[in-house]
Amino acid sequence: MWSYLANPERFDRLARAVIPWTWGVAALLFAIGLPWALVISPPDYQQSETVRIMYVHVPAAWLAMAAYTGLAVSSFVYFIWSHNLADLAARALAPAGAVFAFLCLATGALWGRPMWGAWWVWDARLTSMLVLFLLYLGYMALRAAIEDEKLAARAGAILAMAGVLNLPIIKFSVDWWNTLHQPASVFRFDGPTIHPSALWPLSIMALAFTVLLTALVLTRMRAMILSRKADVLERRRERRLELEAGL
Amino acid sequence: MSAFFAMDGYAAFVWPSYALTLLGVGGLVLWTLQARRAAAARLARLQALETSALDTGALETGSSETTVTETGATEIDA
Repeated sequence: MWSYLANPERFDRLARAVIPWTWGVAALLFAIGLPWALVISPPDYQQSETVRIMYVHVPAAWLAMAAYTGLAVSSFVYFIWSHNLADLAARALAPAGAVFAFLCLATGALWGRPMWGAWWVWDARLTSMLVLFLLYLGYMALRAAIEDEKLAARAGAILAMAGVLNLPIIKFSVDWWNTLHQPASVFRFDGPTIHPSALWPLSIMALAFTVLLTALVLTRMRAMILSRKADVLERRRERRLELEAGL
Repeated sequence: MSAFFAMDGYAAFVWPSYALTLLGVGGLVLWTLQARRAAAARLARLQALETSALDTGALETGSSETTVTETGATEIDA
């Protein structure tokens, strides 16, 4: 599948067919998920209405981590096989992942204040999530700082692969250290411990975020392919003009 | 209805969470679509310049090698 998709023309054809669907499905899922999260789902017996923050906080956290997994995998593929599309995927994933990580931190603070009495605590879960956000920023800054495109891609890939160590720390931080943050309640060996009335809207919102990320990444990758083609034409035109001026 | 907006006294925490999410996600969407439009427009402009250069025969002064690459250019399509 990888070598099949590694052909930019083939990828382009497939992406063009898939992209409108991803936008449509994401919009549909949000249209179902949002009213379910805000109106239909019941308030929590302990947390009252603040539980509604979960429906944006948790998907943002999951997607920030999923986007990082994608960033690390594409970086690995680029690093080993030098597939340009893998590098484009990495570049497309980073800003989206950064936004999701930021949203996770911000909505977490807004949830922590009424429930814990603190906007922020320096415990392992919150700190490792902050590290994830900073990794995204560092990745984008590093790439922006290096002029040579190939070198920037390789340096970014190394940073992205090293940063993958942070993912298990985020996931297991709530088990390894004492924290105010609640432990995992959806992805558990013994099944989710959330009531279906909350698990359903949470799942739909998570799916909506996932499809939206797919739409964003594919659209961004296509935009980058188009500008790369434009760069080729631009260089060719400059050469031609130089040639004409010389004649 | 006002009970819905009051969020049992937690309106100051629930609504900003959704507002921030809308702002962040909406911003990403607009930024991405704008980048795609800008890239497509730039490519179309350069392709138009290329075609007009071909039409005026400006390229025929080049060597046969350039002609080969220029024919390749017509295959590049948005």
